[in-house]
Amino acid sequence: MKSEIMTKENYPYRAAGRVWHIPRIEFLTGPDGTLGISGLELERVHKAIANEICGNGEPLSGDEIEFLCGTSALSFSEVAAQCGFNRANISYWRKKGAVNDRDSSLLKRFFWVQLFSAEIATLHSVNVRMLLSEKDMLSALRDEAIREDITFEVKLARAS
Amino acid sequence: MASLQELRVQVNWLDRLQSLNRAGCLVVKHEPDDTSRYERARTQLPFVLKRSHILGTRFSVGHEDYAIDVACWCQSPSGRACGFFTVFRVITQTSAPSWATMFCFWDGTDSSPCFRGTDSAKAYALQQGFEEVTNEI
Repeated sequence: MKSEIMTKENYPYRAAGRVWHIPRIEFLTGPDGTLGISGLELERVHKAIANEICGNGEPLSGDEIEFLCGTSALSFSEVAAQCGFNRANISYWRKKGAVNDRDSSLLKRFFWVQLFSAEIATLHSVNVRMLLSEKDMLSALRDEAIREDITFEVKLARAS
Repeated sequence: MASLQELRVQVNWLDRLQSLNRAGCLVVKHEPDDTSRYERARTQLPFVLKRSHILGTRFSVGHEDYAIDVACWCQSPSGRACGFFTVFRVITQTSAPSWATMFCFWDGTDSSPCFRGTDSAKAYALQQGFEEVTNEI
């Protein structure tokens, strides 16, 4: 039983509530004659879309949250627990259609790391500097928020 | 060596699906391909493979000598709305499949059925001729 590959170029692909142009996408004809797209190809395409979503600077939409959860194989509860929200927050954003800027930024960083953690070590130095710069920026914002009484300082509890 | 008939009800096919190479696990191409349900079917494949419970198996109509249909269900990522009812066609003549195609994805949208729990999904699957997996080998 053999499979055949069919390549399409500039393929309009709907994901995360939008249509994306995929430069090249492969479909397979399976041994039973069914035309489909493989899990490996879906992962390749979805990671490219996720990278664009996470890096575009726009607030995360409800469709994008669902897309990123599915692509990462994570439930709302798991994302919420790991990001310090509760599931109701995620469900609310999903229904409302958008996430506020601050939580968008956190969620985008979380999902990007979920999807690209294996590749981080292979990034060039310029990308690493960008990541460090992001960390420094967050650190400065934290200190500024304490100075402006927006929040208060906490320290790690000493291990007993 | 076990027959396909024996393998069908004895093997945990979901386990085999989960360990299948991703290059050999397809989502069937659907036309039109711009519906939200088809979009979700493609997007949620990793979630479905990771989270599903197996409901039952049956021989694939027209492909009885080498293919088995496997019905599965899992909660959606939100955990509240309709879950995902899926059917995979597993191409196999042994207990180690090399190909599988997800050709059914129901999530309650586009007039597709809505199953909120494993019990209702399993009851439906059994009505459709799927049989429960008995003893894993």
